[in-house]
Amino acid sequence: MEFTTETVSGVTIVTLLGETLDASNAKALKTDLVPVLAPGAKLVFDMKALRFVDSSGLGALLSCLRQVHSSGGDLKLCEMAKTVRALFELVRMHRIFEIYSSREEALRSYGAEV
Amino acid sequence: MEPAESRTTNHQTEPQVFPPALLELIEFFHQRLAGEPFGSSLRVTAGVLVPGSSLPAGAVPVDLAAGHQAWVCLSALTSDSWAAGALQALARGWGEVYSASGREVLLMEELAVDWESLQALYDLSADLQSALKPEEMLKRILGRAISNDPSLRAVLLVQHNGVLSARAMQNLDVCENLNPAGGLVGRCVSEQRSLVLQGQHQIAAAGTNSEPTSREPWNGATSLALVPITTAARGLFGLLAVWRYDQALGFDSYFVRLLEALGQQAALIVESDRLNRTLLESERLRQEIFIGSLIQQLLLVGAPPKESARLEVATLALPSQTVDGDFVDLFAHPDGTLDVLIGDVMGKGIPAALLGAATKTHILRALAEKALEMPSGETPSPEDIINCASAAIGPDLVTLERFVTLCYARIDPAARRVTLVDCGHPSALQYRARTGEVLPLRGDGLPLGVLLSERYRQIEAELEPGDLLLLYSDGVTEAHNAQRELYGEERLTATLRMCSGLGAAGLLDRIRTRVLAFCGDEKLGDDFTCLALKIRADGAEPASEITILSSYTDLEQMRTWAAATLGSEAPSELCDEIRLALTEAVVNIIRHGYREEPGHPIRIRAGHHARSLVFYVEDWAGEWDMASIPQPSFEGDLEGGFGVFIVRSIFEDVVLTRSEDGSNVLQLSKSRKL
Repeated sequence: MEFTTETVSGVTIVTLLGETLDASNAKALKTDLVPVLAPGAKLVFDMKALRFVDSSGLGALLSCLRQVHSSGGDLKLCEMAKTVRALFELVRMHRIFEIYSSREEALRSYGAEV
Repeated sequence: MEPAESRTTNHQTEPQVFPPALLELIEFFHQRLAGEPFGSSLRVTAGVLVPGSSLPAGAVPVDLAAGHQAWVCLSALTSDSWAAGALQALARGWGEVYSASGREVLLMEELAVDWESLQALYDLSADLQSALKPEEMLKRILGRAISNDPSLRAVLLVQHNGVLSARAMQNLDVCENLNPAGGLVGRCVSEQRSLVLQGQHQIAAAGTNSEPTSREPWNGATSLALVPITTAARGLFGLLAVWRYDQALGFDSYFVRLLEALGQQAALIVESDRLNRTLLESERLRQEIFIGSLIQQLLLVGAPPKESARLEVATLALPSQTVDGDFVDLFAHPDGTLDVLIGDVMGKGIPAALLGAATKTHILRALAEKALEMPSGETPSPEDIINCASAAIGPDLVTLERFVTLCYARIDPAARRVTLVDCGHPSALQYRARTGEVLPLRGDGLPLGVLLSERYRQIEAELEPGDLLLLYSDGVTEAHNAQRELYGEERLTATLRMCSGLGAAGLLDRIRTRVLAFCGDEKLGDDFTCLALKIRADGAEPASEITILSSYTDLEQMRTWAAATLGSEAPSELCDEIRLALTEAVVNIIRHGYREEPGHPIRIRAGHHARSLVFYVEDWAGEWDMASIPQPSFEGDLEGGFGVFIVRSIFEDVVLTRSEDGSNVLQLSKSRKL
């Protein structure tokens, strides 16, 4: 899946551009995101384009979260569609990820000036 | 000077046999295979086979001198079984020809002292390249052996089917076949060395104790030289004998060496000739198959599928090694019905193929004749057509002592009905999309040409959108593997059930792959002919099932289908949940059932129930257990294992069963909230 990155006040915003994150592209995304997951990185994944995520896609996001946590960084999610949010709630991952409704809220949670 | 010498020494210790031998090898193969059918595209590659290493794909091993081995392969022809056969035959031939020519070189070196003998051998080597017939060349070899001396007689005996028979003679009219175990021949063969004998008494006393079965041609000779010819590949090849009656002039050892060299030349010619014949034979066979399949394609099964908005049609014909009389035809009627015909003439060969074509013509004529008798716009019934055709062709078939099995089916997509006449043909199979069952459509008619008084009757069955009809010849069910096990109707039924969602052409493609995989190296004994028809869903109602292949990239297609099945009135949350749960179920099958091997079918079918939503997800991955998938962790420390949990959360009822034909059916149900 294609994604773009930008840095705002020391926070890296990754905008995922695909509509689907499932078993067909989860592994590739995990690999492609490796350079972004620098030690201590403060990350926000903007998920507004995503319309469908399955458990494999969720697994890829979890893997990113664990990697970032282990190096003292953090990963927050924002702009999640209702259908995707439903999956997170179903498997209770809304308790593991910090999920914000907007990009600004996510940035503010890092103490960044918006 | 010293370095030059040491270089020479090095060259001698390094086996220099390889490069020139490999070039020769390539030339040998190329000469015999170039031209039709390979044309200029043929590439022959060869290399030294290092002990312990494996052969490159598609290559055959060949022997070189001194126990060394090489490999040879042909470019891009590995799929052509004829090319593979030719390659094998040439590899064997090379062994024989090469070992013979190797000996010839050694003998020539030994004989270099004798200019005349050497000259004779070079002349003959030149002959070998010429276009002389082998019998002519062998005769010349014998001519050299006796130096055209009219007092000398010579015979070349070649072993074939356990006897030695004369292949060429000089100054001799007849020579009976000889037993290689008896008489003087027996001694020469068992001792594997040349015999030079002088004087009638010595010749008479030299034979083995066992009597020769026939009279040896040199009986009464005063001098005799008898030389065994052996080749590495065949052992004893034959014998070369030269003798005289009148004078006590003996043969010296040079003469014997010359005979041995000539014997090798003879072996070279005979083996080379045999090899060329083998190649010609396989070429002839290939031509016949080609002509046969041409007839088949043009006359018998070449009818283009007639597609319509309501029907999807595909045909498949794989000709066997021999020509069969399988035929297929399709007739579209103005009222939107489609008639399909599949038949098989008893017997093989071009006569059977022509009879198949004649039967087709008779049926077409019967259709036209009957149609003229009908009020306009009406189509004659299948039973009327077949009874009319049977009356026309039956007497001819009885005279020829041939019969024809066939199945004539009319598909009416508007009335959702198939009407079929079965004349002793393998039962058509119907896949019913609604239930997922496969039913045989079996009539009780006799084959055409068995009984002239036979009255054919049609049977009817309902057809629904999504249903598939498969008509086939017995070449499909009677295809067998090396253990002589038949593919059978049961396997065919299972394949139809498994691949019904792939459409008519997709189904036939899977049948072909599966039958060929089942047969392994066994050749198809019979023509393999299939016709598949799928009733397309009306535009208004979505297909009640879909078959995808075990690849994650097919998931999106399945989700699109699921959304269409649920319809636009379904609440979007429900639609999202179903799409997610089905994705999880299918991903588990791909990952844990098929272990991410691509190309296996997974079928998802929607059930029709008023109060609940039911989906059946079916796979053929063998027995695999959902319970073996680890439980998920909700603490975020595991990345997987949510799939089964998600499926169970969304569907209230999850039941996994194993069907009779060995598939796993995951039944997922959820009550409809009203």
